[in-house]
Amino acid sequence: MFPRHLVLATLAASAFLIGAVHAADYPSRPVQYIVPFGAGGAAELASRVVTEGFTEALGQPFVVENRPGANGIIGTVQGAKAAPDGYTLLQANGATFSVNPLLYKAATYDPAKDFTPIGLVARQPYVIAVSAGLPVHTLDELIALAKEKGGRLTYATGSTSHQLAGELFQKEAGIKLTHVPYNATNLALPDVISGRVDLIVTAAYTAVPHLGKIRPIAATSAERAKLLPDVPTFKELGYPNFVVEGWFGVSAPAGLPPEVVKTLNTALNKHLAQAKVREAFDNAGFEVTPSTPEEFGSFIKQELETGRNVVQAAGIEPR
Amino acid sequence: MSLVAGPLRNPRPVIVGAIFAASGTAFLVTAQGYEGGSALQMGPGYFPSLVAVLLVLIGLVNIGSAFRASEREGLRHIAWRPLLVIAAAVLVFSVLVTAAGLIAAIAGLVVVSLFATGIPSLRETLLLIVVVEIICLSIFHFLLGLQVPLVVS
Amino acid sequence: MDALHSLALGFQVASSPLNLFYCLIGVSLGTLIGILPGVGPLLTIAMLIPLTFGMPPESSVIMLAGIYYGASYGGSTAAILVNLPGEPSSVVTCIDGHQMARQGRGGVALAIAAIGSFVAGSIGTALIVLCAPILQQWVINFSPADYASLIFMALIATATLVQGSVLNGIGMALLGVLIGLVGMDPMTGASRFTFGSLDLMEGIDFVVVAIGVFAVAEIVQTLDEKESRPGEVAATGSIWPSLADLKASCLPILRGTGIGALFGVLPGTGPTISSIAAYFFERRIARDPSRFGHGAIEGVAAAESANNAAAQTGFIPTMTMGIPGSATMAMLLGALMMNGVNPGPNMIAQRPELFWGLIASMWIGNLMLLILNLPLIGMWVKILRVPYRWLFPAILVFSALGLYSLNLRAFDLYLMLGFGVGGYLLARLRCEPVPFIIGIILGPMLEEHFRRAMVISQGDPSVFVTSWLSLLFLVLSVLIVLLMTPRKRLRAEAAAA
Repeated sequence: MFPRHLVLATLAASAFLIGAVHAADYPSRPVQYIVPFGAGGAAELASRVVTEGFTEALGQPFVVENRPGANGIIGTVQGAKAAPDGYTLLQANGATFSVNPLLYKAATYDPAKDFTPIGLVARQPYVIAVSAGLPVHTLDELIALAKEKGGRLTYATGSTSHQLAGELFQKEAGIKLTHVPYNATNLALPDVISGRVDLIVTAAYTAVPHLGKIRPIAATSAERAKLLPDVPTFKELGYPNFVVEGWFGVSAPAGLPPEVVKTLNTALNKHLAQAKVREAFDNAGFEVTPSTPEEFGSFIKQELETGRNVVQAAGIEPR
Repeated sequence: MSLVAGPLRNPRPVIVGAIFAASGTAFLVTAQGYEGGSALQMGPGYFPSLVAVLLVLIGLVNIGSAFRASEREGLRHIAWRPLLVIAAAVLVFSVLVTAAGLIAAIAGLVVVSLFATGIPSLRETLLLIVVVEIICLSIFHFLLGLQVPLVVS
Repeated sequence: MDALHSLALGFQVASSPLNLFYCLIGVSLGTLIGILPGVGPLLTIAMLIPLTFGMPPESSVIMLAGIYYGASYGGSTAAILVNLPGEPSSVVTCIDGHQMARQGRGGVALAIAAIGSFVAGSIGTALIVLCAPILQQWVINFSPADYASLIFMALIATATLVQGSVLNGIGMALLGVLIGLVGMDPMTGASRFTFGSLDLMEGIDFVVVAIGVFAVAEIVQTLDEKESRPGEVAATGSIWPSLADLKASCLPILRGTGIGALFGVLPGTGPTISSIAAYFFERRIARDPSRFGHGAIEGVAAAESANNAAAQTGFIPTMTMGIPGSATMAMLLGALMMNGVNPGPNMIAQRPELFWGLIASMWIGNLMLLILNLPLIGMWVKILRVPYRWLFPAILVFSALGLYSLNLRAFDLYLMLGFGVGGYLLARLRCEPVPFIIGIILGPMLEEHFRRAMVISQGDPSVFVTSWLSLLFLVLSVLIVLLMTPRKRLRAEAAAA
């Protein structure tokens, strides 16, 4: 039979050890990485590249958990509510962090306050493209045609972030377009290629295989998309305030210990610096943009601000 | 079954029609809370309202058809015992899977569901539990790596 | 000649030992997860993608594609044996397939499903080689109005052609459509019929309803009938199809393949619509439609060959246009892109070994599936011989566990139970679950395309009759209703009762 005090002492010692080990030896067990979308799609795949990097660098499995539903709201709410111990991380992205809180009442989280930013991973430039049959080749011609048609030009989008860019376009150019929403960009392509819908707002890489059937007019990113170097940005064309980009990064519930943030950020940026990782992202149309946790935090705030201006100007009420 | 005694020879269409009409009405009323929009830009309430109205109509026609029915037809009986036992078995599973883990949940479901047809013997119950546990755990836990704890402490 | 040359290249790539190995892994894994409820090809492919990064792109896409079409083989097994459709495309397989199993002809049903799938897969492969450009054009020309009318036709066919009264069928379909609309409105993002529940916001998953109204309701019904009619599933005859069975299935397999190949290419809608259309087409043209729903082999043959042909031609928009037709296809596409391959119009020219290797591997994979599945039939049929009072707890555990693995939340189980109890009670009132579940699947699609067509036409409803395809589907819908005259209907009903 064990002497009772020995058992107690062992228990106390191990409890102490667990507490002490926590920050220094993080991670000591598998980490779940919530992706608030279903399996499939470039962003979800890209997050698997990220978790691979963490797993390699930190020696514990980082497991992607798909928590889809309600445009990413469900998974993001779960991410906000999890314990800030470093064992639950969340993919942050443009849709869930800078669009959803403005469009949906159900998105009860505050992107700036309820999360600990860890680092930006990549950005994704968008373009506005027209169906090849539409007789416009420049932004000015497009705007002129839209004015002439008086709101009867149609534009397709496959996600709320793309829709935000579409709304911003109407606001900045002073035109009116009819919005045709789709569940996913790929489902919109046949209608745009055939000319049933006039315009599409989409990621640059989605447009590339269809050049000739659809014609990119302008990019919404701050700099030209690497995949479409000939397409001018709205900024160049005289719309300095028109910058909308897709992005995604890694975040955690608010209150994550700073040492853990540092460990994760270092591992992430080291992984992103590798040539093969950059190449994988390039292939999927993402432009890798590593950051410090602080830079990522202010980036999120700034994105939210841009979104809020657009949504207010467009008169969209949260549902 | 007392409905059969009245002037109604066939109560089934009345019950079915009432179910349709009632659910249609419930959806219709709820959908009134959503923006209807116009035929050009339909709001979220437009299409559901349309379908709900059709469902109410179908329900009413169904009720009406009962009074023209020529054949007498009784209601089919309902197997309450298996129905309730299986419902209970699934409930036990869903409670145990979070409270006690996968192993207990599977065992609980098997034990309860065996009561659907009679009183099972202890031997057959234990045997079935072991077989089902082995098959399910090897597939879901070991092969597919389902993220559910086997035992919750 | 050129196509043959390319195909030869493809077979050369696909029959390298390494690629044969990956193909075998893919189709075996696909069969397994297809049988399990809840665990689908989407999840499996997602989990495997990181493992494929070091592999040559051909091998990785051959394996992942194998999982995709292998799952549709496995799906039909579960549908026939335990009345559990794992995917929307196997709902109609349940109708006659499970009845056949109940009559002791489960082996025949499984064999016909496997043979039909193989024939359809082979023809589908040939069609990709010969007709990819024509089918591409067909995808591009298919407008939202055409989609809306096609889906409408499928709904009408389902509601009016199943057993029981037409009124009940239509009512159940409409009820299904309304339940299908629960969740976030895809066009505006507004929550509908969720009553503030976040769990309901993402909509009601097909699998939840399928397990409820098919598997659970079926178990209760079978346990009940055991009381009045003791004895197990009739154990008679050979497990292999007779010459008469093969003869009866021959044309349905070919027609199913044609319908499946044609509709399978349509992104989003294709895979589901094709098996529904093929099944109801057979039922419509059958000399004696009353056999359908009571174990008609033609129904199984048509539905299974249609969904497999659709699975094959579904690769056309994904690979040659960069337009994935389903979430699973989007996943495959993503895996390719991460490997540096950009699917699209240029892919065949730029990476012929990859494109044709995949096409050839699909034929080889179908052959493997046939060889793999035929011997398994003996084992499956033995499972049916297990006394039902021991079998059903196992089915129930599998269903509950598979469902729980989807989102790891008890809510799905409660919802499934609700549908199971409600579905059983409605079935006792002669309201069939088939139109209901097809309503759930097609309802949201119908709304989406209907609204989209109206937006694009600037609110002008004439768009539904000015497009000849849409007009054709609408005329067919009207014909389906008119041809089911009440007189005929009553007689059929009396005969069925």
